[in-house]
Amino acid sequence: MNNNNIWGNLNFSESEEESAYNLLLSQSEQLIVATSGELKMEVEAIDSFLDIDPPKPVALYMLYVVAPNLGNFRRKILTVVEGKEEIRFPVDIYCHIDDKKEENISKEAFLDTITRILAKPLVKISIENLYRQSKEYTRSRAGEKK
Amino acid sequence: MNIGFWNIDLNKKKEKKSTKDFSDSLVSFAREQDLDILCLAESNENTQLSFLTKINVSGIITPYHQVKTYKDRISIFSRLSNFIFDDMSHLYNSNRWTIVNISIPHIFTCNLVVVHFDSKSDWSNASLSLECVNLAKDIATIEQATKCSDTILIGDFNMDPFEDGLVAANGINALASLDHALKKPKGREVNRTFYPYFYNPMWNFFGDFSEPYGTYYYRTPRHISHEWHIFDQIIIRPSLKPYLHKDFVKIIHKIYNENLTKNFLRPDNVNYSDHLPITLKLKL
Repeated sequence: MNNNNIWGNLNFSESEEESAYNLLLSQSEQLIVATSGELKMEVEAIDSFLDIDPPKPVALYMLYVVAPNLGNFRRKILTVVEGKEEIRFPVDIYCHIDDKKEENISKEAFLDTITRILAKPLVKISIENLYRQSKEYTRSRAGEKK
Repeated sequence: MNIGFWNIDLNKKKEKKSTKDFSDSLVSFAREQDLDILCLAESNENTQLSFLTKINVSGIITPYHQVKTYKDRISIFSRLSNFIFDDMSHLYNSNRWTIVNISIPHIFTCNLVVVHFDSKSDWSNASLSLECVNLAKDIATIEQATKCSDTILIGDFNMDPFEDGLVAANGINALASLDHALKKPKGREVNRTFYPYFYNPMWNFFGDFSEPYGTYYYRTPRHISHEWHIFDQIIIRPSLKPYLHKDFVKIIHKIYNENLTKNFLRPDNVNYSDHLPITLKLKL
């Protein structure tokens, strides 16, 4: 019998490289806990194209902070742009609150970069205010019921 | 907050349509434009149901639902909770417009007026203009009842921004300049009566400096024919200026790289609709 294995160079293991989407989703519980459910995080994934010539297919992961008590009002915080034809990382991150872009973010730096974006004064105030508005409304409704 | 409107042209000429399921285009439109509110004219129940089923397939994202109103000519879908919408149907008669008061506690309140005027093939220009007087009266009633004058009009007016009903003081009274409208908060005075202004940003879409050249195309075999029209419009009270993004109004002619137009950028009425969709983005 011939000992050569023509499949030897292929990787059939089930472990998948963690995507920016999964890394973001892993953070969702913590916001609910920190705000006692006043705010929650949503990540919406869509396929799109970068408007360049020729158009480049990309995956967009948009992170929203949602206030269920304020009629599900949601604020778009950032969008992660992942190239679809290449490996998952590096990615670009676009912050919608201050319209700034962070480019070529590696997997290792990904969560740290998001943490840094969320700590920017404008972003921080925007999310904290949403929490306060939601809390205030919840309190005022509870007062009405009494 | 993002609001979209599309006259999807499904009520008539069904047999001429392609086999394409329109609900797929609606899902793409809502997702790509990140719509919080989607308003439809000339839709049918099958398409509405199919749209809701498809867009809510992912359990992670806040689901869309149909906003309850007594007027059924216009359909409104939203992922904002039903409790922020207050149907104003009891305060007016026409079924050509649907008015809801939107109140996101501590964040934003406005009146949303979604219109679908009668077709120019059935109604004369004069009749359409006179109907604007009725709409203006209903808006005044609603603004008084809700104590809110931040009003947004969106929809298919079957009139261009320059037509009489949209510019007349006792009609919609919509100007092309936001700054000018803001300088005169009481509005235009005619015979000792003040008429508050609206601002109509759709004037900016005339001409070929940007594409597409309108939201609707038709050519009549007469000497006078504008060919391109902006029947689908977003008109707002000037007081909403603080909420406006840089490109707050758009005419959409591509969804995910798929063209909604055919030759010469005319709306592709076979695969999509004879109208192009429009969007309003408010910074809240």
